[in-house]
Amino acid sequence: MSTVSDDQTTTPPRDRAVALVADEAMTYVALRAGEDFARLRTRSRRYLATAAVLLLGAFAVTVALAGWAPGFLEAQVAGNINVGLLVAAGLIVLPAALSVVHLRYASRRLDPLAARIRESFEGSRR
Amino acid sequence: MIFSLIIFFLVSRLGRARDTCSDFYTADRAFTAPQNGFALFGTFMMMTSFLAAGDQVALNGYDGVLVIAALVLSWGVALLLVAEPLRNTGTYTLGDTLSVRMRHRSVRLAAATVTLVVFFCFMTAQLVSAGRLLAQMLHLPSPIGPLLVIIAIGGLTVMTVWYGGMRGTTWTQILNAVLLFAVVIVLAGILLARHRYDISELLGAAAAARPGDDILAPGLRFGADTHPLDFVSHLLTTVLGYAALPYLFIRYLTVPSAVHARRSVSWTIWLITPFYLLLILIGFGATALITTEQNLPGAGQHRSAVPLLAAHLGGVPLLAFTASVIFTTMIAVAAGLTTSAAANFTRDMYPTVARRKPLDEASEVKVARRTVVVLCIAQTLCAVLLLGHSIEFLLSLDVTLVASSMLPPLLFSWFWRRFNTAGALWSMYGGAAVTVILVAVSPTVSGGPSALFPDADFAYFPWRSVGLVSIPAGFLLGYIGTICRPDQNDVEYSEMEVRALTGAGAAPALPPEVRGGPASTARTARLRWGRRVPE
Repeated sequence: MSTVSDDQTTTPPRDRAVALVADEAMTYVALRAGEDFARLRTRSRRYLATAAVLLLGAFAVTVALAGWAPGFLEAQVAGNINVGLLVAAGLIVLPAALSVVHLRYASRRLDPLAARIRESFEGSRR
Repeated sequence: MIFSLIIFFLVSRLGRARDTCSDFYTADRAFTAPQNGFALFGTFMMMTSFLAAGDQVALNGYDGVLVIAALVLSWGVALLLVAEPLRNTGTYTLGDTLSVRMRHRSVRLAAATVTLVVFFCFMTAQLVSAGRLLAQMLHLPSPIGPLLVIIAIGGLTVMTVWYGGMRGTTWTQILNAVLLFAVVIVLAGILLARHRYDISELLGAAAAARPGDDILAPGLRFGADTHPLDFVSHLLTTVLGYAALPYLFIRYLTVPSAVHARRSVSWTIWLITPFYLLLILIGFGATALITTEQNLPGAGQHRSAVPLLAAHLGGVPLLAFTASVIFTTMIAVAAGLTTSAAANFTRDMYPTVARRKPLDEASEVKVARRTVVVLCIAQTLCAVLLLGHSIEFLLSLDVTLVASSMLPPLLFSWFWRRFNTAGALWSMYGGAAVTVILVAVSPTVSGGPSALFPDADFAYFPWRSVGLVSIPAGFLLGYIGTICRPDQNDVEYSEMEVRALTGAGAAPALPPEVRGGPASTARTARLRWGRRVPE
């Protein structure tokens, strides 16, 4: 790439990049130590762990039932539809329901904190 | 039939957008969430997740429904654990993401190797099965037909990617998503109309068609010739493997931010849910209508429930339409795969193997374009060579490889502070090695009529699906590799963690004035290449 750059024409581009990287790395360390970030991390990890365990847990329970206790899933509900088919349909709809919850939770509880941290990161670079 | 092929070929060409240099991989990260959602859906729906999933229901009844549930759930996992951190920490490839906190060269090389192997497995399996299937559907003569189909798909893929880059690929995928929906809605509609819009009656007809098997209850895959854990292993691999498909990574990076990535996955989920619910009906419908007349498709055979049902319900026109949609599907999927494989090769492998310095932008795109051609040719040849053989082992290999050698280093590098380069290398190479070895001694390679070598027998591993062993092995090796080496870099983990959670410093969408044109300023270069100047 040719390098007629915006401002610092005297420093060679490679050195400038290295300086930039070192500088930014320290910004990340500082941000990570901050209170906002600690709150964001706790919140997001707690939420992600709960959601993932629920999602995969529901699947694991269904699979376990199907493999080792099929009698329960074979019970008829209406016509030819049995419990197993309803449970499977529920599983298939589950991610869609989760996505609604996820979008809402993330935009209310996570995004504002993330945006604040991102702003202070960008502020520190100017 | 040929006519409609030509028509669809033209449509897929119209979908191609103008060609600029800088947006070759990610179209300047400027797609909207709905567009990307449709494109993700179009990329995801390949032979295994569309046609084979339908077959699973038609053949295995309730247990097939569980496979579909696993496919949908994998998107839940992608939404929670993969999409957002990936958008925040990635630039183009797996190697880019990992090298935020690892030693660049070795990790990049490992990531590229694993990704390219996965790519090869996926593409070969897709091409071979598409070649056989389409030749069968169009009644092309046996040795020449599949060959022509494979070459046509390979050629069109090269053209789409070469001219269109990510933009062209994406629009092909969006078009493909719409067409797929049209096929399932038409098929399911006709099917339900025949059964007076009564799902219970349709299910009853399906059950009645196979009086020996109770297809509405679990057991056809669980109770079959192997241990139930074999099927559990298959389901686990499906959930984790499809959540981290490497050629979907690059799709998460075509949107402006993590919020958009999240929304596009949500769009995909909302598309995929009704699609699969209809596909389940189609699967049961195929059982009900076809079993009595013909045999249903089995593993490794060149028939599939969806096209069989199309022929049965709508005759030649509907069959031709379905065939053309499958054809566009192949091009869309292959184009997505090839773009991301080319990115992997040019960014991660080429600079580490061939030259020590990374390429500048113009020559990188040039190399990427050549890679696309070479990969497609190699792929087509490979598919032609395997045409007469069973490819079941490839299908079992590819997703398992993803789940056991790519998911572990990604999750560790976002969520585990102690993780280091050694751990990443161990989990990538180790996970891949365990998978390959286990697959090699599994019944898919030897010891049965549907194996690659039906006459030999070295199937020491009892299950067809090896994920239940190899996925924990991948994670465990990552853990062992990490604790064996003392190096730990908290500064770089700070960057990874802050970036993954907040998107601070993530590669932004290019503002319109920077798109296209040469990388003239440092600012342009930084915007285009991510923050870090590569080694």
